[in-house]
Amino acid sequence: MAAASPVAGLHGRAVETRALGEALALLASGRQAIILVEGEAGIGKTRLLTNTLDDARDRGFQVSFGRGEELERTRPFGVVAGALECARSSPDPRRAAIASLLTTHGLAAQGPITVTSDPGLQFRAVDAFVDLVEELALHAPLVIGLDDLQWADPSSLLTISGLARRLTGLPLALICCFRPSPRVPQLERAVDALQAAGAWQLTLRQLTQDAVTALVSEAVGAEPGPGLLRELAGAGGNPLFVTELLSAMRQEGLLQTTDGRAEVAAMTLPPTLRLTILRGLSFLPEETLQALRSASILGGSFTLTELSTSTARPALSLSVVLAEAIAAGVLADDGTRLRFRHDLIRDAIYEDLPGSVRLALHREAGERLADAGAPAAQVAEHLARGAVSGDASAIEWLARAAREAATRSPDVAADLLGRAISLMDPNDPARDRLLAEQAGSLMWAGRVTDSERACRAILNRAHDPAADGPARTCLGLALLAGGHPSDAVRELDRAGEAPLLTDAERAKVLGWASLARLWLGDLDGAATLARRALSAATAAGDELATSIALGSSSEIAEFRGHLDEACRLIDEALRRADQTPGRQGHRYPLHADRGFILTELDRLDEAAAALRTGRRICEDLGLGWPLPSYHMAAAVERYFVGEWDDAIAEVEASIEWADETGMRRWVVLSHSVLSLIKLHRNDIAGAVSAAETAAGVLAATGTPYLSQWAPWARALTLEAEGRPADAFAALAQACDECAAIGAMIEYRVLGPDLVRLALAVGDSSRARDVSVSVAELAARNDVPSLTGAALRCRGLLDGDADTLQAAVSAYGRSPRPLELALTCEDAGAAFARRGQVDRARPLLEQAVEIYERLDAARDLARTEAVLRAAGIRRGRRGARRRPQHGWSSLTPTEQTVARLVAEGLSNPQIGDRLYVSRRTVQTHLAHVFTKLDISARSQLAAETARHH
Amino acid sequence: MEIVIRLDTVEPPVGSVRLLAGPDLSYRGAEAAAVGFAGWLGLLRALYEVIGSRGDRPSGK
Repeated sequence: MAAASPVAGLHGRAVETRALGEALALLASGRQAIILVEGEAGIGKTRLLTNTLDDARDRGFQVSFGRGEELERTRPFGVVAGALECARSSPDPRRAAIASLLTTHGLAAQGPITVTSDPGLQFRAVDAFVDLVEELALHAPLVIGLDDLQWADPSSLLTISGLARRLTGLPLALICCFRPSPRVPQLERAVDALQAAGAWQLTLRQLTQDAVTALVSEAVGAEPGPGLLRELAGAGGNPLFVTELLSAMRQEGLLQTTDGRAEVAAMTLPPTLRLTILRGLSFLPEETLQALRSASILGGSFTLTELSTSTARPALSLSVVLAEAIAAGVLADDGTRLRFRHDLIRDAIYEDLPGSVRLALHREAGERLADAGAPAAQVAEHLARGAVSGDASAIEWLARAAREAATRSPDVAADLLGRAISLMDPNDPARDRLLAEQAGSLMWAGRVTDSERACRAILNRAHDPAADGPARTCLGLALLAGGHPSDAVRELDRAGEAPLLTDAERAKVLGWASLARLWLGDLDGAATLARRALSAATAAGDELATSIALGSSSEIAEFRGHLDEACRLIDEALRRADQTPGRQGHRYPLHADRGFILTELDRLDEAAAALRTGRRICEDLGLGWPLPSYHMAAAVERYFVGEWDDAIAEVEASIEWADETGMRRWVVLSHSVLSLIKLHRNDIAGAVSAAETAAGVLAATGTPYLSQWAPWARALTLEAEGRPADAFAALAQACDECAAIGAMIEYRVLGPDLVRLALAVGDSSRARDVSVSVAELAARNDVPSLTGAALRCRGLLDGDADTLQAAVSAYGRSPRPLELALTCEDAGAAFARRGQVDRARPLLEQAVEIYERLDAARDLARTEAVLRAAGIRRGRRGARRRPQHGWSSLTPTEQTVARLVAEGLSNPQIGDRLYVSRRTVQTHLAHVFTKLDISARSQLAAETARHH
Repeated sequence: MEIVIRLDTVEPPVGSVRLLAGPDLSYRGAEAAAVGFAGWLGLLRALYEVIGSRGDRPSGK
């Protein structure tokens, strides 16, 4: 039939063709372009894409093409791996390495998926694809065309979103084609992400009458007459339908051309595209039709080997039979796979099979593919489609495919398990365990709410006792991840009592329950459970459970202000985590905890190194969910060390990761850090906004864990707005909450400001109490900045310049410039009040110098006012504020990033050089682009050359 | 011609086709053999078979 289908050029798509041409022109100038092409089947998306890719090749660009397949939606990364030709046999070691990563069978293949299964190589695979595309695009402009994304697997859609978001400024074009339906949530999210990254949307509508006329004219080589156009009007402007109808007319010999005008004799054409296609196919030999029916079972494309296996027919005889279909244009042979010329042709054949026949053919194909050792996902797909309720074989294969997919795509695993469950008898005793497994996959897929709902569905009815522990543990973790520690505590407590848990599982549950209590602010309860968890873990000889218990104990010690003990415990927890199989113990961000503890100990260099190590381990293990915490901890470390632009980059990276992973709990601290920096830089509105965001996230999660920075930032913004009483009240409340739960450590940051505000509102009693508490904390720990904080509080309380001078000396031994400057300012002001200008001057000048270096405009203005009031004229003037735009506005780190970009390094390579993550590099780069008002790496290279 | 199409199911159609009276108007009655089919494609093929004409090659080829 298709040989009779006239092949016409592209008609009626001038606007879309022009837009795609502009996108390629953008690429030529080194910039990114993303285009979404949406339209119904047969409307011309593939033709438009093919033409654009041909155009790109003509321009000398690199071109990749991939497409979704209806029967391969459960193959993780199938679309992107196909597009980027990532095969184990690839001569390119980068592509072969990705293929090896994707074919790795996860831990789950060795046993059932549980909530502690490896949550995914998914992030690692996404990073690997993004790195490959970045390297390719750095070499030359790259166009990636992706067709039929309505069938794409969730991991591919995640990767596509990542490419768009992370590779701005590179000559990369993503052209994504899809139908309006089916529109699965993962595709919705990907489309949203692409639109957020600036995608252009092209919607292909039905062809106009003029376009149909042009198409027909070209196809039949004559101007169509009114009768012919009337008949073709039934195609509704769908170009595929038009060409199929023309094909049918030709087959019937009904097209007549007279005097350059084509007409059709009276006839009744099939009323639908499907019947038109089938009618055309009916002229093929019966044996060819039978083979096409079998092939339609395999999807839109297939290999001869797959068809041979699924039909138990020799490949050679099939090739002879299918030669007719290839000659007729029904199938196309790309050298590896045979593909139906259009999915609608395959669909027409497939849907023409009676339901019972379809079931039987799928089942037969599944069984034969299984015997031939085909991948579990492929076997499971066929067996599921050929299954009837209670089909044990299909259920087993679906579960097996889910376990294989779990490490690469927990989303796919959850889907496969859902299909297995739907086939099970509601009274099947194994059903609840599979439901618990599915809940675990949903949890690691980041679908925390779905996971919670799934667990509750099991637990709120009579259920298999064997599923109780896993389901309840999963529910507890989902509640914890979702920011409901109170409910998490309840469920984890009950999980610990569940029957049929092993001793090691029970020890782990106790450890999680301890952490949940910590998040809830119940330090005593957390400590009790941590002791029980440690005892149970030791008895069970389980390193993972031991590591969890020690990690919780360490955090408790830190919160209580016993920093040396906290450090010893976290080191031991890490040592145990290193010994767990597959380094599973590193799934909890222990290095972030260590980073915080070292920061408290003023060992900021070691803290930064710990955070780098932890982040690298996460990347190696493919763990995405702890990454927001690493960036958040790095933001705090950078804030204290006075590298505020770097801190902002870490804040933004943490927020981006949190959005991606759903772990928004961590960003309370990030937004608080941002608020404080903006406040010091005199951007009051920005500081208020960030503080409100922090407070909003905090209110949504409602845990006192790592939360005191939010009210701290809020209090300081209130003070900046001229509301010292409100500021005092907010900070006093935060301090009371710390005292109530025994979180002594928070006095370090809250104490000095609370003493200052208490004195400002005349509450000297409160100032004294706080001062005593900070002194107790300092006495427990030999840490210069803690000693400084205690002396500063005391000096402010007593108005004693000498004590404040001693505080300056203490802070001088710590790597914390802001706290040092603030204390210098307090001491200088105190000496000035005593009329000792000679002692005030160097202190105030030191404060000014640090504030200038930090670009802390608000603090600078305040200190300059103190200097003026004391009648002190400043000596040497330091550098003024950095400009907001242009090359000189770039921070030292941003200039380094720019130089490395100009050298042609990729984001991961730059990250390795600077000891930061690729996300942080990406954030720095975004800042550089904004400051220089450019949008391409090539432009940045030119700018860098101009300034060196 | 007189053709009887018996449908066991409608979509996709499954059933059989019998040619009761041929183009020569000869009546075959009970002698007419039924040709089973499944799907629209099968129906078309069954019709070609009983009519004895199936347009072996599309005219456009």
